[in-house]
Amino acid sequence: MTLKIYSYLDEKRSTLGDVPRGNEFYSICPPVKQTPPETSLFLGWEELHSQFTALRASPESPRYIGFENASRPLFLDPMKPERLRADHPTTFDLREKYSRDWRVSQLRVSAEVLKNYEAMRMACDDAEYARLMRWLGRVDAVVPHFQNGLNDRLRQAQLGETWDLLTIIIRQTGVFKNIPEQFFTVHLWPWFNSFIIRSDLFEEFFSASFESFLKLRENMPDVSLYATRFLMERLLGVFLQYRSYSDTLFRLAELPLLHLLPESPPESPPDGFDPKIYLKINSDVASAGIGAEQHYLSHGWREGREWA
Amino acid sequence: MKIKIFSCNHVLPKHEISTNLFQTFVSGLTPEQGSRTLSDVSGRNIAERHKFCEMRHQYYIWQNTLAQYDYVGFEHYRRLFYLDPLSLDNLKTRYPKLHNLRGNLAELPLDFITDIHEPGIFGEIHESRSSFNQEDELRIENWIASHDILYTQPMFQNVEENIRNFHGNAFHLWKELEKTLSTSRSFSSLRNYVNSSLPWSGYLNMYIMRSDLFCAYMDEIFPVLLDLDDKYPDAPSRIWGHFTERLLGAFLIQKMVETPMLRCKPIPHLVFDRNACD
Repeated sequence: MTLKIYSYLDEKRSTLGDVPRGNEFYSICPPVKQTPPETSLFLGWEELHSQFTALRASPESPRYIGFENASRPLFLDPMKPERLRADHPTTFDLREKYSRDWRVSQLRVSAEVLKNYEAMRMACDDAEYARLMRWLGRVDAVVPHFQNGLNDRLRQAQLGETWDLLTIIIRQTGVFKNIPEQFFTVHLWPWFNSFIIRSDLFEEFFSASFESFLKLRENMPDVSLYATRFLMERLLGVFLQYRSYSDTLFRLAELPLLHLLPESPPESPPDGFDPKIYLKINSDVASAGIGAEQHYLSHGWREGREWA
Repeated sequence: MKIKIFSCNHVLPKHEISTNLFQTFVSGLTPEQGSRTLSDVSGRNIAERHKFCEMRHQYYIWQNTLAQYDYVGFEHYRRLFYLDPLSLDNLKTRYPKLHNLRGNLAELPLDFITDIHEPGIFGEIHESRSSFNQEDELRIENWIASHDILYTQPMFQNVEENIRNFHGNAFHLWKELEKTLSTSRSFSSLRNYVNSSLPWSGYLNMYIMRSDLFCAYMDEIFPVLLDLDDKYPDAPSRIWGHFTERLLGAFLIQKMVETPMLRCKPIPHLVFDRNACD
């Protein structure tokens, strides 16, 4: 097996229905509610937990392994243009849009466009999958275009001292021991823990990362899920930037993610919306003294604010 | 895999290079006997058409020697691709200025450094390129071959606005070029991407491309540009070179749409002050 991409199915995507079936290359991962004892330390880390569980469950090690959030899939479109335009016109439009502005890290899409894209992935024929594999064989890692963490209030609020502490821990661990301090202060990294990477690199990165996260949790038992997500994505940025520095011919490919946004204001918060969690995640809303539901319904949905 | 990167000059530079990968190329130069510098005074050439700037070099390769290569690349006498196959330790020991440069590039988000005026860096780059061993060259070749088109980071400015700002006296020529290309066969095989609303400009005419893609690009633009050069003998100097810097973007869009999973990527580049090239 050459490639396996694990798509983490979060609540946002689940509530849309018509969940795509998996195939040889894509595996749909529902949130892990139960966990075997040896992985219980990761319970509550949601998609990171899914990564760990997927790895443990994988019967064979693929040459490349990928992870993505099903609400924000990596934009991979190996379909022939004529067929794409005829059968999946909204995905063809996305290809055109990205070709015009190949710097964008996210293409904002409606639920309908997301489903059209998912259907395209499943409809690819052998030749198109072979094209995807040939493309992948020419890269070492694929990530969303790097974004500036300084421009994101949520990331700024959640990282801070937690990042500083993790930095101290991880610089004594595995591959990160060799990385100079300056790489831990760079504010550009690929967001959302979505990537495809050579399996040997994945092992190298994740063995050190998970070990450090466990130590972090011993020091900060109440580290939040959001902080964990952001720490992990930033660590991946450090790892890849150092790789590209130590070997300037490292083959890093950057792609956009599709980013699902609602098209019209919701009448009520989504199922499972917890005001306390919303305010914990969106600390700027909490500090402004605005009610969680009020903020979500007036601004939060449009801004794509996280709520679970 | 046969790859050649041509360093395009209009006069003989102080630092010359002729290796498996890199080749100094001076347009209009009558070479001295035994010189390893490439020139375009023989074969099919447009050496006298100075308004084409560095496109003269590209024309010559396209018309005379392209069949020899799987990939071709073009850089300018004081603008260089950043191609560095050496290990960190090796670089630090042998080329300390380049070691610092690598550190600077790692911290930059835009993949280029302009206005380099510190003496010695340009020379170290040429020295390192000349001393690449077979393994170093193979690493660069493999890296290039893992892409289809490598280009330099452009300016993200609307093309029409950019032409009006920098070449306002030739705006009518741009519109004529755009009109002709927009009805050409290959540029309209799927949709037409040549129009002034494109959001970027200034690609520098520097790229490394698969030879078949380079050939397709040259096939498309040169007949139109040569006709315009004949038709408008009073066109401003260097104008066709400036226009092609803006055309590459349309070609890239066309190819990215037509060719799924095309591997395109900006390659870091370095821009030296004129007096820092010695």
